[in-house]
Amino acid sequence: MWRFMLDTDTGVINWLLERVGLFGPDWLGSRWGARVAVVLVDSWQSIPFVMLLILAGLAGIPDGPDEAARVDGASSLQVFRRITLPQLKPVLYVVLMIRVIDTFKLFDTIFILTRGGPGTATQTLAMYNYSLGFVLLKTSQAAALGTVLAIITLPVYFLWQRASRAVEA
Amino acid sequence: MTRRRGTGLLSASLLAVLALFAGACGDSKDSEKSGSATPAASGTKQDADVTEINVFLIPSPSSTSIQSFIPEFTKKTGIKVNFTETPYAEAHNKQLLSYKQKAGAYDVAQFDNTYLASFGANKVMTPLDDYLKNSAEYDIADFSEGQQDYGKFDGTTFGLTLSTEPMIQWYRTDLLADAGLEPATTWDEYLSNAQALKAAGKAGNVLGFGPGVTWWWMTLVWSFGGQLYDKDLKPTVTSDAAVEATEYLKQLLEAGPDGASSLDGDTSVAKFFSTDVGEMLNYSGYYGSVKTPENPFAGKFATAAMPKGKADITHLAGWNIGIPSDSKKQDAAWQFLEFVLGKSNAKAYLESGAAAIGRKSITSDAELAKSDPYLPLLDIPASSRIERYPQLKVWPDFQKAADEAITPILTGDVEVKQGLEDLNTKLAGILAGENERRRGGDSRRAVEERTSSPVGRHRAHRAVLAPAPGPVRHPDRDRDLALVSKRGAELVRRAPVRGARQLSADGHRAHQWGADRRRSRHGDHHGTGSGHAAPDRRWSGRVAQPSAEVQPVVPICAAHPHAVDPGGGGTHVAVHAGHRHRRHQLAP
Repeated sequence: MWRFMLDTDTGVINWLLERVGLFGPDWLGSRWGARVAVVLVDSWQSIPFVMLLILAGLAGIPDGPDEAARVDGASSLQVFRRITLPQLKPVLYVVLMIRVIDTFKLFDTIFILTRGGPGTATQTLAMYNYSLGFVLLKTSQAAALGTVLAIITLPVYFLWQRASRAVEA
Repeated sequence: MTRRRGTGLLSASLLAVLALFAGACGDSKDSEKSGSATPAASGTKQDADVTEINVFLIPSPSSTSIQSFIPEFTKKTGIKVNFTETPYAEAHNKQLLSYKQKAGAYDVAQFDNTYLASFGANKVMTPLDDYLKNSAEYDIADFSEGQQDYGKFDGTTFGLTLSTEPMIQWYRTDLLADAGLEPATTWDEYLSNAQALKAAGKAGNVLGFGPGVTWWWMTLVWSFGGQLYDKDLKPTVTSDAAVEATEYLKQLLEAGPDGASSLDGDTSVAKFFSTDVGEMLNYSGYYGSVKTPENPFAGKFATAAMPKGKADITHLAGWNIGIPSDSKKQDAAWQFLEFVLGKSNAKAYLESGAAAIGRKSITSDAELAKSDPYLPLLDIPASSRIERYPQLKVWPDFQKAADEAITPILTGDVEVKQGLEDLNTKLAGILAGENERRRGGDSRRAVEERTSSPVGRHRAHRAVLAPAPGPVRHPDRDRDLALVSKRGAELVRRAPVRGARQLSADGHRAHQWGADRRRSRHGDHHGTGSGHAAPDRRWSGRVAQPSAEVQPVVPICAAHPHAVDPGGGGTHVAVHAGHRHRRHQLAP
């Protein structure tokens, strides 16, 4: 669907841009156009999930400290920075960890939109790993790269754990 | 066959793991379609003990046509035919898995011509030359010489032609007529037509400029008089012809639809069939889509021969079908192939919806040409050199490298000559692996060594630069020296490695004594383990004589031909790259 929508020649996105007087870029055929397209589509896919998590986090914050701060004369910005955000931190860490790991293994969006192209402009490690294993049939190398990917993402997990502990303390 | 173009490389092994599991668990899975025809009450001439055969098919018009012949074949011979259809993405991996098990699961198998080299090199398909020699019904002489070669690998026929799909020129009659243009006969005309249409506000031409662009790029390279590699498997993509072809392709992209650099083979066809695009360069097998009445431009498409360049070439693609080596019913399998693809049923085969096979008797049939006007294009003239996808085992690596290099050149991200030089360097490493395979070496190890590591690529790059012949200095020597103990280093200095590494007269470096000893211990095909003893093809072509100043090294260890005697008795120090061994038993 996104591939059709982003088609430079017949896609609805460029058609809409033209209607408001803008010249649509070559989304999937140019290096930066393809990168921006991947970011846009991935963001579109993940924003609802992230919003739900944050909403759940916000709903769990008690009203008491907020009201107390307002009684003491705190502005809305101060309430957000000093009261709301610190209490939301654990949720934000979880969201951050999930998104970082998701991004590391990003494959389907790129496979459908650009196949890693033009050239290798949008080739992620996961996409490269797929090529190694399923196109070039170098399964041993692909398995090794998969292990390396897991090792790369491990620090993210440990950082999150450490941060979570700090927040809890 | 048409479905795979452009997406071929990526889809070739899609879901391979699933296919492996599917293959391991049994023959019939959800993704497959299978069936059989009821056998007749009695057989005819077939061997009495063969009552059924299994046919492996890949969903396509050709497969559908084959299935339509099964009841008649069964009626005639009494042989029941079971068929299995497996999607293209899984099909070849499943076949290979079956052949490796030598279970004789299939007696006839359809496969893409791009797998012919792999199947032929691994000898998983039966040579058909003897059958062809004795079959008046199949009548191989009814095919032009070039098409007879279509199922051959290294001179042996491993597959019959199941479809003949040359790359041809497609055009929209209305758009060309409106612009006062004629179908092109040369590449100059093809480009000028495209540019004229673009100037008139239409898309001039389309092809798979994105993933899979290699198919079109190599067609142009051949047609412009170039080659992808020479007879020694050295890449030649920096030749004038290749540069000219690449620049031409870039101009075609500029005259194409907006955003065409993301189009693969299939999406480029969709673009041509559904929007205003004047010309297309693609395989003839897509002709079935032209006949679709729902197409908004039906009746406005026409085909012509591919424009001519400096070299008169025909880029040929299509399906093959053959008999797996592990089949226990090869005569019955041949009987089936002869029945479906023989001369008697050739017309019925085409009429049943299959992509045409380029038999002379078919391509010259005036009646058939009325409904399929492209048929005469399949009658490839003897003057035209037939080119098909390179018969290389390392082709997936080759195409991936070319795909990744060409598109950025076309979009202007990389300058043409620079991009081709980089590609040439990369291909040198890849083709070196093929060279090893052809000379009996371990290609996989060689390919991986040369293309997957920075060191391998660096060495490939050095090989391309081809330094002037002269005394050979072992590239790892300095590193070796740093690795060994002080005493080992001293010993190496006394007896330099180059003295032991003599180059044979044909330019292949080998440690004769080391190789001989390994052969005596482990046989000719023993792996080299640490990879230091096999003839090193990186140095092929560079001939140097052993230096008179150098003391020859006395071989002391069968396992480590680089080892030198430290004088300690009973042990040695091995000083080859990356290894430092001690206390190895000395060879007697």
